[in-house]
Amino acid sequence: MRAPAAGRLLGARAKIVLLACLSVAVLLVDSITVLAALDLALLAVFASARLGWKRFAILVLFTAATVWGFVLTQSLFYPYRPRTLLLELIPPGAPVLGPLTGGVALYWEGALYGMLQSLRFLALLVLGLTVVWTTSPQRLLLGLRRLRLPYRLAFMLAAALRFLPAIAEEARTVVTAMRVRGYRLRPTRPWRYLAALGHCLAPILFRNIRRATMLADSVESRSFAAAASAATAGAAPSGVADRLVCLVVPAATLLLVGAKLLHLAALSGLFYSDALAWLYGLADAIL
Amino acid sequence: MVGIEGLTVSYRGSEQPALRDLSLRIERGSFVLATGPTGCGKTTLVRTLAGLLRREHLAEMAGTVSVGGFPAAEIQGRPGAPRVGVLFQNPDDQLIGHTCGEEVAFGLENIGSSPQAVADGVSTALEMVGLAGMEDVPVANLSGGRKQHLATAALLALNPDLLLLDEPTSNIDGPGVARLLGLLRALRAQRRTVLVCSHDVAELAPLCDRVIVLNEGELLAEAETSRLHDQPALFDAVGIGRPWVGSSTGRGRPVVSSSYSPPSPPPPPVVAARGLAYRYGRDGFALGPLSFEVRPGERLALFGPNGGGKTTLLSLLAGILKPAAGELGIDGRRVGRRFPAGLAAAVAYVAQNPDLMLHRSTVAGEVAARPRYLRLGPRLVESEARAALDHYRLDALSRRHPFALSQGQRQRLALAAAVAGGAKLLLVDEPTTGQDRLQAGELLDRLSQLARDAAAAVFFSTHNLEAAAGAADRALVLADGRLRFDGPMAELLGDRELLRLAGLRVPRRAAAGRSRARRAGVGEVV
Repeated sequence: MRAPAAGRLLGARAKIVLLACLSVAVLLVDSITVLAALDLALLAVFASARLGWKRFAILVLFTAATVWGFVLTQSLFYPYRPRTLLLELIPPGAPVLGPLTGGVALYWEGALYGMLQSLRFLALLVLGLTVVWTTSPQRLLLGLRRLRLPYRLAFMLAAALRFLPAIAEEARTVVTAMRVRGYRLRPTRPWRYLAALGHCLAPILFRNIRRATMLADSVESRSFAAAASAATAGAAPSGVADRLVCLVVPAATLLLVGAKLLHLAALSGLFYSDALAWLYGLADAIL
Repeated sequence: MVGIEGLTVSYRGSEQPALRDLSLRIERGSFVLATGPTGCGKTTLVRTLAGLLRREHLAEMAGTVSVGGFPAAEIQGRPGAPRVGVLFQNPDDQLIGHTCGEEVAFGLENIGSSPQAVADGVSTALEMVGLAGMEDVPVANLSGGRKQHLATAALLALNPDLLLLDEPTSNIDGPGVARLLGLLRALRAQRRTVLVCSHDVAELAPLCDRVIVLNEGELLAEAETSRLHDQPALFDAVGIGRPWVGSSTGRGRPVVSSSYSPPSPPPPPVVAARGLAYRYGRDGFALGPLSFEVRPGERLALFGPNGGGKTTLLSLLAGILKPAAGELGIDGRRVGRRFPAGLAAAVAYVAQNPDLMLHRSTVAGEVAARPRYLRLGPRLVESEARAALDHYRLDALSRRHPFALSQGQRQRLALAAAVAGGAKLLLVDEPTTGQDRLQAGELLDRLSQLARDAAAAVFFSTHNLEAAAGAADRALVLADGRLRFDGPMAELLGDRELLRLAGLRVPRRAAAGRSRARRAGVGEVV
């Protein structure tokens, strides 16, 4: 018998807590090595969730685009000094473009900063996709309710996720209908893809307003109002792993926030204690 | 159970009221059919009774509506109020769960049932609709008919005091309709209070105690089902299906058109398929191998049960899908992995949901889009667009936004936009779904006209045997991805086994209201 996939070991509430805490933690960590290790660990979780090659390919595409985009833009537009020149694209003395642009170059410090940002973004992207792809909208709704999110808001979030694939499918249908009528899409004319997407907006919006109305009627007629006004959220009981995650992960995140604040206070001279030297060392290493 | 007195409902931006001075009573335990042409006010009646009318959409609402003694507008979420369950026309728009179990559990969890009560309620409701043991099956894996059953189970789990069913048969094939009728018979035996709103009088009237006919928001007639057969003119007057349109032979078979006579010698085929095949993924649904030809001016109806491969075949012919094997020739050119660029000028395609075909900001822009994409030149674009607007009676609406039109007008626009600029092959996916008899007839007449005047081959898929019989010369039956029949329409109509295979039900012939049918209480399943 196969072991349960990683993404399905936890309940929706624990996953949401994990995601929320991670979004705080990655802001605190400034070490590229630690963030890279965290991303690798999350990728291992993603892989063990057995979500299929198609989704893995989507993740790889997102990862490549994110890292490339962040690193390139930050290294191109890095304004601070000192900075180390990696590659000069347009020398300041070049005719016409030189005086016009003031010179364009890639800088090592900018690339590092871009890498740091992209690793932060990637951590959230990988865990976010894992959560969404391993949790049904209904379970997500229950998880949000257990976190005391207002029912109407929780339902809106869950319903939006539920219908994302249908909306993507409808966008494909609109573009296909245009192509059948002779609209030409060619890789050599990328703007036509954008124009085609623009043309999708009106029919998709119209279709989804109608769908939203119908869905609202459907849930209203199934006692949605009664649940929305109920004080307590009725949901399936959570397991030991869920409870552990909901206790330990927020506590660890709070400790991380505390450590970062103490470290900053020590660096700025506001507060220093010899007894906390080990903490400062640890913060230096991982934060 | 239901009392309506002088109900008038008008929507903002609409010149005519959706319901006008309607008075009606529905007794507890009765089974009532509300019928009438598209736009007659059936859906507004359902939404009013379910307390789902939104004030911000209303221009006027007058009269009183009560359900179980409570004002209808206040029954949703009010403690002690009767429960009203609504089954809408399109199941895809009302299902929220990922699995069948989650879908049925949704309502039970909303009313605060214990986990054990939820589990019991889910299995009982799924069993009632023939989906027993399918708690963990993803909703996306169900056919259209089964989705309709699942939506019904989600309602029944809440044990509603009043059940409102809006066009429950419009999206499902013959076997699906048969299962639904079986379920309705069970509900009738349980003496549930049910209001069914539908064009499908022939199938549903025999199950009902009473039929009400609405037209332009007014109550046109109300009669015991047993008295219906005395009033055929009533149904003809509002353009909804009389229990049956019999042929001249009086044997209860649809009237077959015989306008097409193949020219001699026959012109070269516009479609030539040899061993054409397609497969979704490695283990997915497989279509084919199929071999057939279509000649200019032919009118073909494509039949088959839900999931039988009709949309896949039309998508292959339209160039949306690429053949996995076999040969496909369209207008003399071979279609391979790439659809030949010039072929868009020969093929016109209208998808099942015409709204997804409309993407321009005006009606005029919509009909000009295809000639423009085909680069016909400014003068020709303008003349083709004008001709399409004129032919499809859209010239008065040319400056309107496509989505400001009525459903029937949008359907007409989608057809006009698809064929503007000319086409040798017109492919239309389920053009009659959700349309009343008049609208479906008008649309199919236009397809016939196109075949006759422009010598275009017209190829449409449908479950509506009655409408297709008058609009097609030839029938193709696809079941489980295989071509089971290719021949004259009349031959299909005479073969009961083939009709069953095609997932078609021969509508009852004037059965509604007859005492014999009342005793049996069933529709004829072919």
